[in-house]
Amino acid sequence: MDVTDFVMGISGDAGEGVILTGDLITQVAARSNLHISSTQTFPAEIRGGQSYVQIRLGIDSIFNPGDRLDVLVAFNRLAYHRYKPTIASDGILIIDGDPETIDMASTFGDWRGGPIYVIPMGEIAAKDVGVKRAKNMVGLGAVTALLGFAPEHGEELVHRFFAKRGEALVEPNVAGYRAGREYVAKKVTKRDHLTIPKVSGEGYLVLSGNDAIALGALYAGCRFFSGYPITPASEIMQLLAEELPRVGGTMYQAEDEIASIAAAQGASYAGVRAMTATSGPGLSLMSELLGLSGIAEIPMVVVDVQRGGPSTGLPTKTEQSDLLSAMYGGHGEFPRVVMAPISIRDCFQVMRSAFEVAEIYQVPVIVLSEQGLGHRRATLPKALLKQTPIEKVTRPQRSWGPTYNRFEITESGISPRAMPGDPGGTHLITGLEHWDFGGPAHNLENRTEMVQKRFRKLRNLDRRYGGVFAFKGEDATQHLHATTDEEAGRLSAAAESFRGQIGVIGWGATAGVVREAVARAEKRGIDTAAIFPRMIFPHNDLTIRPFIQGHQKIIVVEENFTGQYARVLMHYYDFEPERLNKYDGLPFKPEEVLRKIEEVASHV
Amino acid sequence: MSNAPEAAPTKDDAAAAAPSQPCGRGRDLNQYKGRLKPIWCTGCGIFGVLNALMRSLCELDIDPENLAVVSGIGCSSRLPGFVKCYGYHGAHGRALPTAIGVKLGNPRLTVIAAGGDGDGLSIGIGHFPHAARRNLDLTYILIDNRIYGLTKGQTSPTTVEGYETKTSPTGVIEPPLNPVELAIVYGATFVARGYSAKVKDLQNLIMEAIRHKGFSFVQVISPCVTFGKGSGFDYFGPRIKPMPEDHDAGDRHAALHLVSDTDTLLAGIFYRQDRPEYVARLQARGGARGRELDASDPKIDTESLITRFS
Repeated sequence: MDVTDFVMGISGDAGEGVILTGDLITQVAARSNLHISSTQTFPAEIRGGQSYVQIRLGIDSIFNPGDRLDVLVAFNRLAYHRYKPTIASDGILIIDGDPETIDMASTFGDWRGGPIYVIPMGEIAAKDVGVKRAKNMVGLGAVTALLGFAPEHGEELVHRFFAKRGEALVEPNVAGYRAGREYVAKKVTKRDHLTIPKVSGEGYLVLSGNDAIALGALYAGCRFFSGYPITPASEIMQLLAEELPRVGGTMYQAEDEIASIAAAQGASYAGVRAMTATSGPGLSLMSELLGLSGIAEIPMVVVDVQRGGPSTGLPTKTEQSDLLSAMYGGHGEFPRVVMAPISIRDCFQVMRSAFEVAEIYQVPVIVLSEQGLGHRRATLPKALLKQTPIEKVTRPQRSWGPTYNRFEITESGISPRAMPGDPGGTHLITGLEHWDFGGPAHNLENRTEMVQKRFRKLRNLDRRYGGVFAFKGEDATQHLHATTDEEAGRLSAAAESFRGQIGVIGWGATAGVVREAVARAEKRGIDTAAIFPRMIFPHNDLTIRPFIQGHQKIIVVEENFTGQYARVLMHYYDFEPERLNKYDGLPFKPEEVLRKIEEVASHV
Repeated sequence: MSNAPEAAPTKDDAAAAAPSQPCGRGRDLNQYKGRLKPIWCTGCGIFGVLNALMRSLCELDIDPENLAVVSGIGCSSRLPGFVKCYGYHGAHGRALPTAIGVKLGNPRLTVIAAGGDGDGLSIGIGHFPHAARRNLDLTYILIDNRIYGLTKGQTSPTTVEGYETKTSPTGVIEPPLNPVELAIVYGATFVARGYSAKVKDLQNLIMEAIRHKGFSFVQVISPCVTFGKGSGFDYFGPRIKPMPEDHDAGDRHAALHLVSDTDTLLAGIFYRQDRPEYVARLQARGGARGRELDASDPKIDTESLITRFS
C-alpha cells in the first residue's frame, strides 16, 4: 500500500462524535506534518441519521478527499454495512465490538478488504472510563495508535477542545483517548502495513473553506460582516464574530437576510469594507438589494455557500446550482461580478480580489462557494497567515469641492466616491435612476448615458481578473492571471498552448477532483487538460475561447442537473459540449470524472 | 459640472435663492437645504416634518457632512434629498437595517432613518422590533399619513377601520397598528408622537429624540392632502391633544395606558428609558470602530490565529 497517500472514512450515528473524531485526526495529521483533505456529511437534523467524515492523508499537497477507503472506522454495525462497499481491496477495518465474543465469520462474511480490528470502544468508555459518551475518544486513541501517530498531539488537541467546553469534560475524554491507545498497545497485534510516514516540519494549518473565506476577508480589510444563520455558511459568521471585534470590526447578526445585506450596504456606504455570507435561500432574499448596489454603486461582497436546492432542498449537502441566480438573479440590469474559488487556499485568496473589485468598481461581487468546499478541510502552510499582507482598513477623510458629483460620467465608468464624514462631499444616493449629482432623473438621454456608464466599469475586468486555473499533466498547474495588457496577451497565448484531445471545463470546488482525474487520464495516455475560470462573470473570453478551440472534445463538469455553466458557454460559443452532471448532494469523486474522460476519449 | 440640464429639477439653486434664516449658534437654516426641491403635493404634511427636522439639526449644531439620513421608498422617503447631508434613499422597507449599517460603519455620524407607515409598518415591520431592542443611537421618524400616497391611495397598516381606499372600496375591515404602542413594547428607549401641523412642538420632540442616547422613535401624524379624504388637517386638528403634564415618561405602564386611547391622539413624549447603547457596548468589547478616522486600527494577531488553526 502506498502509505504516502491514503484515505480514511469514519462513520457512525449522528451524536456519536464522528465529526469531532475526524476533525481531531486531521489536526493530529497536520501537526505531524502530513497534508490532509477531508470532507464530511451529516444529516440535516441535530440527532439521528448517519454522520461520515472522509480524510485523505499524504506527504504532498492533496486537493480532494479521494475515492476508495484504505481505512474504515465504524462506530457501529450499521456504519460498517453502509460504507463497506467503498473499501479498497486491502483496506483495513477498525470497528467497535467485543473481540472475545464476536462471530467474525458471520459478522464480516461480506467484507472484501484486508485486516479487521475489533476494538471494544463502547465498553472501554463505559467500564474503564466511566463515561459512555467518550467512546469516540477511545476510537481516536485506537486509530491514532494503530496508524503510528505519536501520542502527544492527540492528547493536547483533546485537552484543548474539551477545555473550551468545560473543565469537567477534559478528564474523561483525555482518559478515553489514553485508554484507546493503551488497548492497542497491549492487546492488538498490527496485521497491516499502513503506518504514517515520519515527516519533519513546523506542522500545517487546518482550515475549512468557510474558515478560509472568513480569514481571507479579514486579511482583505473587511471590517463589517452582517449575516443570518444558515447551513452551510454559518461558520463564516461564527469565526468573524470572534475575530472582527479583535481588530475593531463588527459582526452584526441581523434579523433576516434582507436586513443582512441592507446593513452591509449601509456600512459599506459609510466607508467600511463590508460583506455578508449566506446560502441559496438567502441569496434569493438578497437579490432585490443586489440591484440597489448596482444602481447606487455601493461596493458589496456577498458569499453564497451553495447547498442542494431549491427551497430547503438538501441543506447539508453540496451543489453548484446558484450560478445563473448569481449571474442574472434580480430585476433590471446592473453590473456585477461572480467569482468562484477552486480550493480552500483559493477561498482565502479570492476574498482579496472580491473586495478589491467591489471597492474599485463599486459593484456587488458574489463569491460562489459550496457546502463541499465550505465544510471540506485542508492543510495549508503557516506562511499563509504569517506572510500574506493585510489590507489597510483606514479610509482617511478627503475634501470635495462644490462641483463634486457622486455619479460623474467618466471614461472608465468609475465615479469619485465621497464617504459620510468627508467635508464637502454631501450627496444623495438613490435606487431611482439619477443625475450625476444623485438627484432622481427620468431624462431619457441621462438614463441611456447612466446605464452605459455603469456597464463600462466591467469593460476591462476580464483582462485584470480573468485568470484561469489550468491543469495539464501530472503536476502542471498554473494560475494564469493578468494585470496588464502585455500579461493579458501572454495569458491568451498560454491558453492557446493547451491543445489536445479532451478539454475539461469546470468551476469552483470540483477543481480538486478534476485535476486528479486529468492527471490519471494523462497516465493512461489520454491527452487531457482542464481549466477553471476564477471570475465566472463577466465572461472570460480571453482564455476560454482558445481552450475550447484547441480541443477536440470539451467536457463541462458541474454539480447540477441543468448544466448551468455549460449553457453559459453555449451562449458564447457555437458548440455542443459533453456534460458530466451530478446532483445527489455529494461532490464528484476523481474516478467518476476519469470514467467520463475515458468514455469521451474512446469516441473521439 | 453636472450633466443635469439647467432647467432640470434642480441642483444648487434651492439654497442660493432663499432669504437668510438665522438659527442655532450662528447658523442659517439654508445650510440644511439639500440640492433638490421637495416634490410633495402643495399642503402635504411632510413639509412640516422637513421644516422641523432642519430646524432641529440647525439648533443642535449638527454638521451636514456628519449627518446621514436614510430612508426607504414612499412619499416621505424622498426626504433625504431635501436635506443637506449624506442621503441614502434605499430599498422599500429597509431604512432601519440600512441606517444601522451606516451607524456601525461610522459611529461618529448622526444617523436619522425616516419613512412612511407603509414602508416601516408593512413591508419593513420585521426590522422595527430588532432596531428598537438593540438600542443603537439613531432616530427613526415614522411619518404616518395612514395611506399609500406614492402609489395613489391604497390601504396602509395604519388606515383606520371603515375607511374607504382604492384597495378597500367598501371600507377597511381590519384594525390598524398602533406604532407608538409597538415601539414601547419592542423596547425603544425614547418614544414620542408629534403632529406635522405643529412644527415648533415637533421640532422640540425631534431635538429630544436626537439628543437621546439610544434608539429614539417619533411617530409624526402627517395628513395626506391628496388621498386622505376626510382625514386631513381638519380631521386631526381637534384630535391631537398635548400629553398630560403629570405623565411620567419613565412609567412604561402609564405610557401604554395613554397610548391605548386611540380616539385621542396625544402628542409628546410617551416613554423614555436609560439603557446601555448598542455601539458603545460593542466598542467596550473592542469592536465597532467603523471607518477609522485616526488610523490606529488594532492589528490582526497572526500568531494567535496560527495557534488556533493548528
